[in-house]
This record gives sequence, structure tokens and C-alpha cells, in this order.
Amino acid sequence: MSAVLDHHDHAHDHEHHAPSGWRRWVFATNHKDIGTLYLLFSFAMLMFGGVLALGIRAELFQPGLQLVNPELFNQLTTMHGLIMVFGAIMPAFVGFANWMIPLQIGAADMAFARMNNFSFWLMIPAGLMLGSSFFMPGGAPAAGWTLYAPLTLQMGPSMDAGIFALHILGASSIMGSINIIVTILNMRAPGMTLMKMPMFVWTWLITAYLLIAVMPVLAGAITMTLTDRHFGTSFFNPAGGGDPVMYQHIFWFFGHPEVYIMILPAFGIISQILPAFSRKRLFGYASMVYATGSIAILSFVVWAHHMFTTGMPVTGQLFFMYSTMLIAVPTGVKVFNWIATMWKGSMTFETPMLFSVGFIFVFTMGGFTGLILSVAPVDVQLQDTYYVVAHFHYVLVAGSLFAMFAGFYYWVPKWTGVMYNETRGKIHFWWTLISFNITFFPMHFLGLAGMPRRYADYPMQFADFNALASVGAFAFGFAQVYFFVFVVLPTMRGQGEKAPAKPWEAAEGLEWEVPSPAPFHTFETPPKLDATATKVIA
Amino acid sequence: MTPEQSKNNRRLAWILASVVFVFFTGFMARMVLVNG
Repeated sequence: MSAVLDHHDHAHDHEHHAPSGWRRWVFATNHKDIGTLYLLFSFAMLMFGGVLALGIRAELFQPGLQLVNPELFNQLTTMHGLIMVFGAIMPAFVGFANWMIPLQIGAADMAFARMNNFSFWLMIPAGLMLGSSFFMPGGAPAAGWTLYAPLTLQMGPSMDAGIFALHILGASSIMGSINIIVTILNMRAPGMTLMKMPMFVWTWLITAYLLIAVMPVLAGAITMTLTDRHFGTSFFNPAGGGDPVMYQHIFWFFGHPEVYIMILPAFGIISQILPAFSRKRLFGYASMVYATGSIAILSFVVWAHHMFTTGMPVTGQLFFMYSTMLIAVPTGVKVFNWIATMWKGSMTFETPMLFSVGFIFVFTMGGFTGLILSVAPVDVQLQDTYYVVAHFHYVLVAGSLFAMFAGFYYWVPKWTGVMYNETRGKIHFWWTLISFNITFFPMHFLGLAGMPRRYADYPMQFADFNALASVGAFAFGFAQVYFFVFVVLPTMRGQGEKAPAKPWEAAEGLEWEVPSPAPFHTFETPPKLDATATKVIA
Repeated sequence: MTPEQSKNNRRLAWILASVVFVFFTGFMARMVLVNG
């Protein structure tokens, strides 16, 4: 199915005037404005979650208790996880989707513009509620970002605030996903068939289905927690005959697809950037699409690998071990396709490409440690150690966050109309890459040596690597402040060399067919595309 | 690719190769000298 768009020329109706002042943002229905709001919100949450992480690392700089008590430490780890997952990574990718999907498929806007506004503005009260839970009696939720029962059943009122915030964020995500699916399926320009869509659009289409499938599962799990807390049920309360392990099953049925929700759009961004800076078409486009679909389907049958130590039967362990290992196959297809894309390409290493190559290198390390953790007997040893912390930070920071930085540098000329400063971009990349590895690489050794996660204190034997990780964490945090002050702010203020419509010589796609910055309204009438659906011919 | 871009690529390759060299010799030296 192709575009069903209004051919009526709106241009003369409102003369392309953008609304101004606060109304432009509060009542925003334009996909670009809403994309900007999402990106700014997620960056603010990234900074907030980052400050919490630095609180954790400051305490762990030395053995013993120096800065925070163990209760506050648990709150810091819990809130860091919740804020980064639900407040930073997920909204950031929705921001990219809002900005780029309509531009990439030749649509005028998102399908449900007002719902789009609602999706965004729901996040503000949820974010405030999460953040302010630190000031509630008993402090913020401290049961870990997974909100395991029965701990959640014993916490103060901030747990209710946390549950309510997650409900709201979930509703926002579901609405965003519906919008993305309907936009992609109904509003593509004529000629933009499914198998000609840019990879970012494909990965987001699949991600949106994943979100719709699993966010209600999370909502169910935390609603049952809520009724256990206040309405006398005992779903997860062993004192009343409930089963806390059931919570884990329900949570991880959401939680594992969630991991892919946070990484598939990153794969899409990388698949856009590598061909542009290798000056070649993406190697194995169709296999990339099928690999993304396979990863999404497999993500539903691996959840209990998070629970190998809960006492499941060996047959269960074997099933979840092998199904998890199976995910390495489509992921490997992707990694090899990226490498084949670069192979014999005429590569240059501007900042988006540096972050993309960095992504492949460091994300793949996270993938390999994931494979190691999928082996049940190994996982029994490493469960809840810093090895796991190292693994998922290699996937989520070096994976999702690096891809977002790559996407920012790649598309910011289109968003703002000016080029970022290349030297500053490169400083940001190297500073981030090195400090990231200083922070998280030693955690592998700590985990292998048996240091458990989520503790405010540790024996002297772990002191050196912890001190190193803390130094790296502060350097990493300052790198992101540098990024905001010296890269983001100047581009937002329009400082820099004026960007042409297509700043990257070999970039392909409809987003490069409109001027930079992209006008407030684009593709108001469906564009006529060439055979590859990457160029507008009329 | 412009000559300037080729020069930048060569410079990056040398930097990365030196990092690999330093790590490799560092690990070797550690194995030989510290661990015996």
C-alpha cells in the first residue's frame, strides 16, 4: 500500500508560518517540533540519570561507606536504571523517529499529530513524578529497575509513584508506536514500497510492534504489584500464597524484548550512516530486514535467561540457553553486513562514521559477553555480578547511546541548517570512547572475580578496578557536558557553517531532498520518486 | 576521496596501529616480566 495523502495545496492556506512562542511547543503537532521536544527531554533525563550514576561511582571510588548510605545507594541504582531506560533511551529514539520517519518516507507529518503531542506531554508529569520520588517518605524506589517482588511490596509510597509513572510512560510509548506504525504503513510516498524503505524506518516499524506487544505486559506486572500493595491480592506475595518468581517471568517477558526495543532503532541508524561514509550501498539490505524481524521474534522466547538461578528445570535452562544463542545468528548477519558494506568502500571518518565504527567494535564486545552469559552454567557463576553490569552497559551505552550520537551528528545539519564543528565532534567521540572503556571494561574483571552488583561497599581486593571505573565514569560524564555545551548548543543557536541540502556526498534518502534546515512543512503533496525511492523526481 | 581525506585516513590508521602496538607490547611485557 502506498501513500494516501491530501493533494489539496495547503501552502496558500497558512503560508508555512510556524506558530511561535510557548504555544508552538505546548500545542505542537508538527513532527519536527515534537521530535525536538523528545530529544531535548531525553537529553535532560540522560543528564539526570548520569548524575545518579556518578553518585554511585563516587561512593564506589573507595571501599567503605563515604558519601551515601546503603538505602540511598539502592535508590540511586534503581532510579538510574529506570530513568535511563524509560526516560532517556526510549524517548530519544522516539525523537529520532518523529524527526526522520516522515522525512524518510516522504510523508507530510505523523499520522496522528495530536496524539503525537499527547504522547510527548505525558512524559513530563511521569518524569517529574519519577524524579520527585526522592523527596517522598522513605525515599525513591529502591528495588532495582526490574522492580522485583517481594521487595516492591515492602517499599514506601514512592513505589506507587514509580508504578504510576511507568504506567504513564507505557501509555505514551504505546501511543507513539501506534502513530509510527500507521504513519509507515499508510503515508509512504507513491513508489516507496516496503522493501525500498530506509533501514531506520524498517527497524522502527518492527520496534513499534514490539512495544505494542510488551508494554501492556509490564503494565500488567506493575498493576498486580499495585494491587498486592494496596488491595489485598497476593499475586507475588509469598505470605499470601503468591509467587515472586512469577513476577520475574512476567517482567522479563516484557524486559527482554525491551532490550531489543532499545537497540533495533540503533541498528537502523548505523545502517543509514555506514553506506553514506563508505560510499557504497548497504550490503544485504533484504537480509538486514529479515535479520531485524528474526531478532524481534526470537526476543519473545528467551526471557528466562535472566532467571537461570531461580531454580528452573534443566530442560528449561537448555531451551532458554539455546534460544538465546540463536539470536547471535541474525545479529551476526547484521554485523557482517555492516563490515561488508565498509569493505573496499571509499571510507572517510567524519564524526557520524567514527561513532558508527565505534558502535560496531564496542557493541559487538557487549554482544559476545551476552553470548557468554547465555551459557547457563557460566551464568550461574556470573549472575548479579559486575560482569553483567559491564555486559549491558556495553550494549546500551556503546550500542544505543553511540548510535544516537552517530545519528545526531549525521542528521543535525538537516535539523538546524548548520554543520557542527568537526574537530569538536571528534574530540567528543574519542573522549567518550576512551572514558567509556575505562569505566566499563574493568567491570568485566570485577565480575569475574565475584564482585556482586547493587552493593554500596566491597572488599579491599576490588579497590583498584573500582577506582579506575569511577575516574572513567566522571570523564565520561564530562564528555557529555562538553558535547552539550560545545556541539549541541552552538548548532541549536545556528552557529556554524551553513549546511547544504545534502551535506554528506554519498548519503541517500528523501531527507536529503529537502533543504537544510528542513522547512516547517515538508512533502505536503506526495513526491514522485525515482525507481530506488531515494530521490524526488517531481 | 580528496587527498586531504586520504591523508586523514592514513593518520587515523597510524594512530590506531600505535594503540594496538602499545597494548600488545604492554601485555607481552607484563606476561614476561611480571607474571613470569
